[in-house]
Amino acid sequence: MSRSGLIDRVAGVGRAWARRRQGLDRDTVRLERRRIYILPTKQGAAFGAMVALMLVGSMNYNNSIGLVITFSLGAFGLVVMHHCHRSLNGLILELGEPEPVFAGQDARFPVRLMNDARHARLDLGVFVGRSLVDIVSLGAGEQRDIHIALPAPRRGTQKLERFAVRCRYPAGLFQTWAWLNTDLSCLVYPSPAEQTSPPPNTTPTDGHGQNAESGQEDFAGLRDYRPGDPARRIAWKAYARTNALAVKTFSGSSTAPIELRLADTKGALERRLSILTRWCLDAHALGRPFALALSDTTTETGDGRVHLNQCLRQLALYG
Amino acid sequence: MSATARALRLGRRRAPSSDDRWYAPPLTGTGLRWTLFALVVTALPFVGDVPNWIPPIIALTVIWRYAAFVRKWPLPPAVLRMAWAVGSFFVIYYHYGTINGLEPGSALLLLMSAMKLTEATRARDLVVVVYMAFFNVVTHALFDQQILSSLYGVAALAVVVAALLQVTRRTEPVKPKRALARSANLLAQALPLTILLFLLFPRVPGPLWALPTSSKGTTGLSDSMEIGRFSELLESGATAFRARFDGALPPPAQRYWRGPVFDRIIGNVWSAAPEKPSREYNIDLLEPSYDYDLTLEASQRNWIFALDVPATPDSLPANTRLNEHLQLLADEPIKERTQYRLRAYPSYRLDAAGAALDRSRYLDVSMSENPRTERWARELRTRYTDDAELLRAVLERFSEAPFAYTLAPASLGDGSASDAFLFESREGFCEHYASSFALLMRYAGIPARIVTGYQGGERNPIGRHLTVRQSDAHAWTEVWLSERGWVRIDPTAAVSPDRVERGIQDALGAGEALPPVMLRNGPILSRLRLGWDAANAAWNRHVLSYGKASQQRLLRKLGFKTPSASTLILLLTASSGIVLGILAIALAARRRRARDPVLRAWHRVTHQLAKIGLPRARHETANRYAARVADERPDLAQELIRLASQFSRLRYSESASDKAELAWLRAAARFKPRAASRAYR
Repeated sequence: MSRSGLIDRVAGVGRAWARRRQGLDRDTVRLERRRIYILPTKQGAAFGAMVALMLVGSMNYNNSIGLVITFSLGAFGLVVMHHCHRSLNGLILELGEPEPVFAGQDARFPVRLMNDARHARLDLGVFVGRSLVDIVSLGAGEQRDIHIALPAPRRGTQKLERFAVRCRYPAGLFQTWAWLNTDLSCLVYPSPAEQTSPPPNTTPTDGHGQNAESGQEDFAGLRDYRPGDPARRIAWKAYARTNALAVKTFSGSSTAPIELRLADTKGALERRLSILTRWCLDAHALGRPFALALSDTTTETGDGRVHLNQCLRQLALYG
Repeated sequence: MSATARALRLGRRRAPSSDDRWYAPPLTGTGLRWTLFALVVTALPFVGDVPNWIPPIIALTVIWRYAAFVRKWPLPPAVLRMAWAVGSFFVIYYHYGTINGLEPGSALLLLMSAMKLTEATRARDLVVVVYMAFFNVVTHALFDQQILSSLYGVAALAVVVAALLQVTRRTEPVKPKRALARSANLLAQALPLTILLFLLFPRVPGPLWALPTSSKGTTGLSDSMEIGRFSELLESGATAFRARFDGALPPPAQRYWRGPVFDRIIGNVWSAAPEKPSREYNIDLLEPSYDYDLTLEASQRNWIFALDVPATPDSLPANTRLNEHLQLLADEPIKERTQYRLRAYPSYRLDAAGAALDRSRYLDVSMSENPRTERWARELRTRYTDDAELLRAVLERFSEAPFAYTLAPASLGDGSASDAFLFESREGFCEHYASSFALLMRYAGIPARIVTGYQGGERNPIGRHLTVRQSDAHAWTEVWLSERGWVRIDPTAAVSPDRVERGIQDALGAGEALPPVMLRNGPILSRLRLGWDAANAAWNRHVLSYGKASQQRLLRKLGFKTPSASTLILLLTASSGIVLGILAIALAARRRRARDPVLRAWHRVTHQLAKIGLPRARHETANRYAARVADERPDLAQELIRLASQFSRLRYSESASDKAELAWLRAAARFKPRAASRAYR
């Protein structure tokens, strides 16, 4: 354990140095020579020892063919080193923004690996720390999308500070690698509470009544579609007739605007945020406009995906 | 980071298998098949060189291991494998009496690689077996480095490298043909560096540690001569040495290759008396002389079979000396094929004055009992006072019936061999004649000694050299005549002059069976054989004998006045740096060129349009640019819009085929817009 601890520490110094040298990677990165590192693997060291042994043996017996085979294996090792290095040299990585997740899920950072070279790049391992994310092989001109999944146990943000691409192809004698230092972070919403009492029925105080649709389950009519309206309320039949998107509105208390207040919840803070998250999701599912009131701020009343995400974001970053 | 790492480490403990895909990948069917194949290919040439129960063990293990993989049989327990490993040592020790040395070592290696197979569960274990297969290739080269065997070794190397590539794959392995092609490709890229290393890597002369002698006896001359011993040699077609002459070859009658000289007879056995280092001889060497390279096969002896007689001590190769009987000796036994640069003087006068001659030594017959021979010698002595006449009389007698030359003489029994030969059987080959003749001379008071060596050699017109085989082994005599000194007398030549003039093949009677190697008839077959022999000779000369001396010659040719090991290292470092640099550039260039052809062709198109005043704006896509140009130049519209739309498809669609790309590249190359004529202004 202490040995691997030491290795970790040395590797950590190396990574910090590389990071200072490379700076942050954003959007699209083409790996070039000065950031690609290469070292022999254990298997490569064994190969070297084997070749050394063969050299001594062939020298001892003054055997020309033994020497030819020994030398060709040695030269093969050096050729392999160049091929291994080339596996990463010129590889393009596109770093995408991760979608927000709920606490307890995995934060998934999209990475696109692109090979615009005429040669294949085989057996590229994507790593976070020492942990393997995926192994990708790219033919000439191919690209692959992968996701670096990190567990996001707590609300807030889950950062992807650094990941590595490694390659041992061909023959596994060398390992070449490149570190990518990113400032990517994934928003982690509080996990929605499993079961909770419905929110006390409160109308927003700032009163955006004119926006609010009224009524129970009674159909109140159609209005024009606005981006963010839930798909389940689109009047598809009307769309078929008129070729214009319209949204059904209802009258009644279940779709009346509601204010979801932190003050109405009980328990530990995280529990209370979980409850609020549940309420927001429920309100959105019902298509009910809502406002979110945290201790000092209150959002505008609204509905739709954009509004929901804004509210969840506030919950994620609260405190 | 630490929180992430901790979380990840927790995750790893939960599911250890996902990381194992990288760190400890399991054994795959493809990897196993290739490993087994590599093992079989590299073990095959050992059949016959190792105890004959080893190949079946390897074969059975290979079959069993594959079946165990397919049928998911359990692997043997660790105890059994340990027993196998320890048992192998004992069995090999029991068989060879040692575990040290080439043959026990390679037998052990084969057994161990089979043992490793039985415990292989991960790709990593297969890598160990593959490495052992690499060792097999090298150790077999130590057994046999002839052309065919070496070619096989190179092919085997490509197979093992392919196996290594397949075993170490982390994702899906490729098709067998592709793997072999890739392996050959990588080895081909390694070839320039291999050649440089071979030429320039400094050689350490001599063995680094004592070489265990091979358990196989090497055929060759022995340090004593007893009648009947030679026939074994005469049936061996093995090459003893080759000589490549700078100019013309010496005439056949002078092709005597001098080996051990025997001056003492005890019973029927001729041998050499202990050497007297202080003894001197004087020799006059007469022109013409012949310069040649002598390439000796390993003999475990230090005899260098130089053409009679080798030049004076001051012009001898390094680490060799002439003994009192003018035999050329190496300081160390010849354990590997070795080449010497020599000069021969077939005409010479040796000890003509006889001042330093120890006559009693060459007249001693005290340990021999051949009364009838002795009586005949006395008769001759009374009849001829002149030594030369006496000698001629004996040779004339030999040339007449019933004396005959045969490779299958009757047995002479245990008693007086010379008497039995001269007066009873009267048929035999060189050693019978040489032995009896020398004895006869001594009884008659003429100093005589036996010279063994080789006579003749097959002339190879392709390689301008003589190949001398074990079947050319010969024995002749030297007698000392006053005024003339030591004179070579070959009594066999008297019986069968053809033996000396044309070789043993023509010396035999019609009905006599020849050993198979001696059948040298048939023009096509003999041409082929000679061509093959020439190839072998060139192989020996240029590849197998390449060593320190050859390196120094090479450096001198390159213009280095005083070549040393450091010159070699410097040259090797510089040249391999260049070679690797070229490789790196070539690999990078392949990458850069790759992303270009379509884009480059498109750039050429836009460049041409820019020249006629229609440059592309930075923000314009290919299609939009084409549309704008089309508005201004309707004459170009059709061609350009097609080029642009196909360009977009080639660049951004996944389903672009090579064929479409090629067609497009041709079309783009044909595109030549002319400057606008007035009509369109």
